[in-house]
Amino acid sequence: MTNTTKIPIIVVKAPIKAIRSLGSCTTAPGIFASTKLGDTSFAVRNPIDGYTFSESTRLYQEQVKELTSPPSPASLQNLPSQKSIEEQLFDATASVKIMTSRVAMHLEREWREKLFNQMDSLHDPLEWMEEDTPIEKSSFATFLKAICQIKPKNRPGLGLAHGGNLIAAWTSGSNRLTVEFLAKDRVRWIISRFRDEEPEQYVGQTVVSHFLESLQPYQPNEWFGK
Amino acid sequence: MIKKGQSLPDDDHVLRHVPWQRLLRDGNDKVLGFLPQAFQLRDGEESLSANWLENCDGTHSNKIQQTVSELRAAIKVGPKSAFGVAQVGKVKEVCKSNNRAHIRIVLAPTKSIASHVEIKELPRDDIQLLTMLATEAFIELVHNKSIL
Repeated sequence: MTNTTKIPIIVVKAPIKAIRSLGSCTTAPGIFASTKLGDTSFAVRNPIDGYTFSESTRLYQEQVKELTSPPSPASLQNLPSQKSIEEQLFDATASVKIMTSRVAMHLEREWREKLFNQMDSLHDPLEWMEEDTPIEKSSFATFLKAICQIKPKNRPGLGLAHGGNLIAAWTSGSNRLTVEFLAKDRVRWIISRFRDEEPEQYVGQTVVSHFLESLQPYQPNEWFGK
Repeated sequence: MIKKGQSLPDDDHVLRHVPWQRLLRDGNDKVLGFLPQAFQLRDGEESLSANWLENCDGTHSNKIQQTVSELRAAIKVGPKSAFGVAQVGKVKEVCKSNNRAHIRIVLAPTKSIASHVEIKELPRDDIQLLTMLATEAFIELVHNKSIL
């Protein structure tokens, strides 16, 4: 990806003499700080965008902006804000189903079908809170890697954090293992157990490739059923 | 009578609406409790919203019913969502344990929700504390569909 800096270009229609004098007011290479003849409020640095223009210059700037590169209808269709919530939820579930199909050989058909049902259920428009974010693909990718690695016999219950991270929970009586799948292959887990009716918790965060290993001291078979 | 901005008594109760996505379930979608994330602040949120049961009169279940009716009229309450109920003193005790957080639970009525309370000073990302709230404080779970 290339880093680019947007520099406002201001079109000036004026006699050649005026343009020459304007050239002497250049405040940065290629930037004329004023567009209106007789306008003496030239560029002043401000901490936000570098320069402050007079009101009339700003108006020109706005008009020029409107003329340059209007968004195409096709690109408008891709803006998430243009889509209804139902469409956004459908897209989110469709994309994670496609991701799952790419590792289908590692998952039993029944497991996959159940997973799809769980995804649909999590994104049920009737239950959806508008402030929430549909499942993040990066979180789901971490989940898939974990599942393909652990191959748990017991299916987890699934949930969704506000920001779209997938959560899996395995329960055994009042004991539970809750895992939040983060972007970039990271997992955050917490075990909550009751020993002699006293609650205790163990927390960890690691990369998905070390997930099972990090659970070894806590008898992970209790959750995964192997 | 408790006024806006005042703390709730320890013996009183708070109720929090928990959407379907943040209910703890087994692999067959049977609801078992709450996920820790049910009590997590959203980005930009300064306090956790809940509702004061003792704002209503009657038995414990009457209070729940009235509070849920008030919530249903004001916000979206999904059919499969649920409500967690906790004693104010227990929520504070759990937060205080291991010196994790000194929260305040204050009445903060809105135009449409007179029973609205704010749980203030709750850490944003202390997953252990959120788990303790889910397993030790909000131990009563009421299904939305169970309330008429």
